[in-house]
Amino acid sequence: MNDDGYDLILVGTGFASIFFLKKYLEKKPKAKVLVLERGRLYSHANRLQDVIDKKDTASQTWRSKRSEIINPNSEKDWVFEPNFGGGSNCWTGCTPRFLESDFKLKTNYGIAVDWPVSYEELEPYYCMAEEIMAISGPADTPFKKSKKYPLPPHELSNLDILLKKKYGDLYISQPSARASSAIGNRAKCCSSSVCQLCPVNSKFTIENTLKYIVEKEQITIQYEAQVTHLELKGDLAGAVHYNSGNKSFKARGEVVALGANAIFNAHILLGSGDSNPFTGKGLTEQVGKYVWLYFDGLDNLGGSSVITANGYMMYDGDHRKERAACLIENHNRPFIRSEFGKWRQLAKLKFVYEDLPQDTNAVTLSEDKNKPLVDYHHHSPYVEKAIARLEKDVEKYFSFLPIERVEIDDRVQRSEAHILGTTRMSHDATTGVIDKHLIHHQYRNLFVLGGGSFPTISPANPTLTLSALSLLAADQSFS
Amino acid sequence: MTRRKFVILILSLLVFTLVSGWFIFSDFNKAVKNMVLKDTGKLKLKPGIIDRFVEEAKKDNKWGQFNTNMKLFIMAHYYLDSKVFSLPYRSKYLQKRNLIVGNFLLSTDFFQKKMDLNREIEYIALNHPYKNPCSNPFSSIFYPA
Ligand SMILES: Cc1cc2nc3c(=O)[nH]c(=O)nc-3n(C[C@H](O)[C@H](O)[C@H](O)COP(=O)(O)OP(=O)(O)OC[C@H]3O[C@@H](n4cnc5c(N)ncnc54)[C@H](O)[C@@H]3O)c2cc1C
Ligand code: SF4
Repeated sequence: MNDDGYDLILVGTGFASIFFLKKYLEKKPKAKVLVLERGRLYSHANRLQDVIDKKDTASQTWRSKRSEIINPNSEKDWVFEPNFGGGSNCWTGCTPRFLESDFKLKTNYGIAVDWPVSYEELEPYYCMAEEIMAISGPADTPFKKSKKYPLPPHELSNLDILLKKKYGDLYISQPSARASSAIGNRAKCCSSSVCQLCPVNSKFTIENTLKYIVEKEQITIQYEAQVTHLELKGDLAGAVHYNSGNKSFKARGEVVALGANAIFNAHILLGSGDSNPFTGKGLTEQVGKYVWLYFDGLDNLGGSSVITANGYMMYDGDHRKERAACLIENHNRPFIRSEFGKWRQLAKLKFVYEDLPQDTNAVTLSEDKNKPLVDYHHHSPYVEKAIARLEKDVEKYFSFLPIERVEIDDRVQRSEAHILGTTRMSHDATTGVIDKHLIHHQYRNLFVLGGGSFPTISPANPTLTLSALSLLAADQSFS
Repeated sequence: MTRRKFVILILSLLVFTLVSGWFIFSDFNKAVKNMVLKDTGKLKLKPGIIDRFVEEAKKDNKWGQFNTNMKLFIMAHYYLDSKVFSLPYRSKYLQKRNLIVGNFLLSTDFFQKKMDLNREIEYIALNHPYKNPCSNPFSSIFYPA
């Protein structure tokens, strides 16, 4: 242990930080750790009460009108939850793995870059992350798995069953952290469809499953402690500076791990004088578009969760040489069609496209040293090309169904709630910020965790992958 | 500008002001009631349940989810839509109308009783996922595989 400080200073209490901490403590059970969390502990019980009491704005702290950042782009939202547990409080719990090819876009399709870590290397950590979150999922998946999912799959709707029959393993019950049967402190998911705050505490959250970790004796957790910068000297990160109340503090750790999300990790690094040319650059997220299918005579019924299935028909293949992969989600909220006799003869599908990082989309410093400037301009032509043929693709993959009409939203979603790519991982400092163990290429005691590490982003939801990467980083970096 | 063009401009402005003023001061809840009445006309509803829904939705500020512009958009479509004329973005309007009428039907036992047209539809409670969780009537709880 460091005499005047901590073995580890961990910033943030979301997936990236707490999965890292879990594995780190398995390796170093006696380590003394300081956890700095900018927000408060706003419990699930209190959030629920506030919703019932109509204090909606208090409970929906993840919503997009943000005071923590400067966002000049009125078309784009950045959503995150700056309190204990981070995005686990408000996430939907969709947890598909990435496909093997997502790690090898350059090799397979000549596009962007390969990751410095492969699917095979990450696979055992995917299993661990799935075990921790008690993922519900099917036996057959488009990605290789060495272990079964811990919980059985969610039931498909009758529409899903038709699609499954047609597309086999390319259409599966969505792997998710919404429990298909009660487990631990979590109830069985019952399709209430308001996962941003689950009324029955079914989806995995840091609070309902991993809070015990920060309650261990050797952990000091400080709430309302906003890290501003680190002292970077030579090849090490020194003191961590933070504000709490109106006061400034600093603490020392042998190891420092940033898990503040891809916007704030980059901001902290830039504010600390990190001169890696890639820090902050390549801010990316998926692009989503809703499509409504109006059926003639087919009622859309059944299914045991809010998003019942994922379709991989438009995901992998040679088309990725020129346009983005797309993952399809079947949304199963209690929507209706206000037409007599056709009340439930419709479906709502979301088409989620990967994007390629562009250096012009970046997190930078602003005049207010506590707020990052999120300078995002537009998604890439790679996505535009894919979206341009959405109508054709819907026709190609869904026209075997009895469809009366199709409605495609005229706009893309303002956010997919996935903030990625500002501290990309790479083999060396000439092409990225961190290595495959999420350690900064220059400051060798500094981990930069989370989705900022993704060199390319895949159309799949990122959180399972970023949690698995945290487990890998802690497992392979400490003995 | 010619005198003729000037008169047309003034008249258009006047019509626009009158129409938008009428929408602003007319009651959104009334439009909601009319939409529900019209779309559920062929269903056997227990008397008074639409009024009860409209009243409870108002008390609960259910339509607070729509800002003033959206309310005007919905009302403009509702009052001006006809077989021969419709405003732009009609499908957006229909999505909102689905949501409003859906909220009413989800507050009744219609879907839970599997859309049975032979029985009288009862009001249960204002559709609220936190006050009545697990009540998605299309889920596998009601339609097991
Ligand atoms: C509405 C919504 C739905 C989502 N659904 C899904 C989904 O279904 N599937 C999926 O894969 N992903 C989903 N996501 C994304 C998911 O939440 C994120 O990928 C995930 O939370 C990222 O984890 P993280 O630990 O890197 O960051 P976060 O969860 O954002 O945690 C960051 C933590 O750092 C703290 N922090 C920030 N700045 C500082 C600072 N300066 N000092 C100290 N502490 C700081 C924050 O308070 C927070 O505790 C969703 C997100 C939202 C908002
Ligand atoms: S679908 Fe409903 S029960 Fe399931 S996780 Fe979401 S809110 Fe909870």
